[in-house]
Amino acid sequence: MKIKSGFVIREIAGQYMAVPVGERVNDLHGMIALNETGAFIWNLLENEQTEDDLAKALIEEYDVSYEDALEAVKEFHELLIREQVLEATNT
Amino acid sequence: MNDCDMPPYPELLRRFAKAQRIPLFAQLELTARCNFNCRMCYIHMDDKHIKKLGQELTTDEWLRICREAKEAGTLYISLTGGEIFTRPDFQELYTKLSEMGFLITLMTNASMIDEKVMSWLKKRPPYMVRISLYGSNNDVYRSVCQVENGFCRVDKAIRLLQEAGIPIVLKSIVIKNNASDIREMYRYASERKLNLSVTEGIAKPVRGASSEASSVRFEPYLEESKNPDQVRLKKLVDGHGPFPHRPEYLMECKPYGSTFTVSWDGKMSWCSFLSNPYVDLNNCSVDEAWQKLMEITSKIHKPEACNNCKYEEYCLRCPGVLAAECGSYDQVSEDFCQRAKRLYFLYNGIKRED
Ligand code: SF4
Ligand code: SF4
Repeated sequence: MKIKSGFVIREIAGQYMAVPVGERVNDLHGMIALNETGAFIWNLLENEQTEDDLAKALIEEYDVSYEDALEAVKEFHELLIREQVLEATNT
Repeated sequence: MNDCDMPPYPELLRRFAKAQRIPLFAQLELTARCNFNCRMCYIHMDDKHIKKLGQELTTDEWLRICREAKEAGTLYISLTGGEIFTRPDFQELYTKLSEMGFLITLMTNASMIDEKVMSWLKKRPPYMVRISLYGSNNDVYRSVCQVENGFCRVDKAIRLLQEAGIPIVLKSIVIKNNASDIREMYRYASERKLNLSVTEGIAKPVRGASSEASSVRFEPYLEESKNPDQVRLKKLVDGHGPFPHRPEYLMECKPYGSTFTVSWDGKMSWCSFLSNPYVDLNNCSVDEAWQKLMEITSKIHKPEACNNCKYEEYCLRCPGVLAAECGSYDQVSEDFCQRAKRLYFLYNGIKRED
């Protein structure tokens, strides 16, 4: 999976958010609020990643088990699908 | 607090920002010029007058301010005027700002939004467009804004924006010239399925502008009449009872601590009515100016006269309003306080009748 281009991640007052820019504003009104891990994953998703890649990156960065990391990634993946911010894949 | 009591995310963000003194909101007054000539406008001036008082910031200067504002934590930007679409560089400025990661609100009289503007605006729509609605027909526009064909142009713009799915809110100011048209304005708003908020609180002109604010002010409170229409109208434009007692002066301003405004010539303040205190952005960065502004403003006090004032709960006072109405945030005037007194008597009269 990969995030569509045209988002800026902002950190304001300790909160993270993805804000659409330019023509991407047509796809999302407002912003998507993220937690710190969400922002971390989002940044990685500027390049193509699998759920496994992301879970491994999370255990490198945070003190979590692979199982917990994978669960968090799956949950986040669902959010991204709901918000329609992932690039279309051929699979 | 359970989930249902949680304020929505933007409100939470505002509270976090205010607590940490982060300038989450910026209101940028891109110009003092306007294609309308509204009788009560507290800001707009003609070119000659502007040149005498200062210089409008250039495209690059606004872009510099916005880059620095982003660094300082600004997320919401309101572009206001004057009329923003009178700036010849507005398309360029807006297009560049829309690439930076802000949620942009356009504040406009909408009269210059036509098919040509929509052709670029709808490609990168703003977060919101706040439109000032002054009447429900061209005659009222002629009387309030002193322009021809005003309503038709605004109505067309509203339809174009709605076709493009751009969120709109309508704001109106009631003065003597459009007071009898309020119901029609509400009817128009509801036909277009839009929210309309109406205020009768007009300010005297600031920063060298001139207007007819004092003579066109519409004050149902000042009429001692018991005419049921007057009472209904008061409820319509007011909709709330007495204001609670306010021990902390700066607490009277919700935006304080998370908002700044920049005037057309580059002065940062925390409210567009307050030309003082200000910090000149021509000489420093947004972050430096913001820190300085917070330091200076933290020391301001309410006027002496307000301590123990019996009419405080009926007073529309806040630092910005006092600055516009009485000359400074720490001054009152007989004229201004009269309104609180009359509202006190009128409100209590109405309460007894109820
Ligand atoms: S009525 Fe005048 S003195 Fe009383 S609170 Fe309002 S501004 Fe202050
Ligand atoms: S008008 Fe009053 S409440 Fe509004 S920003 Fe200015 S000082 Fe604050």
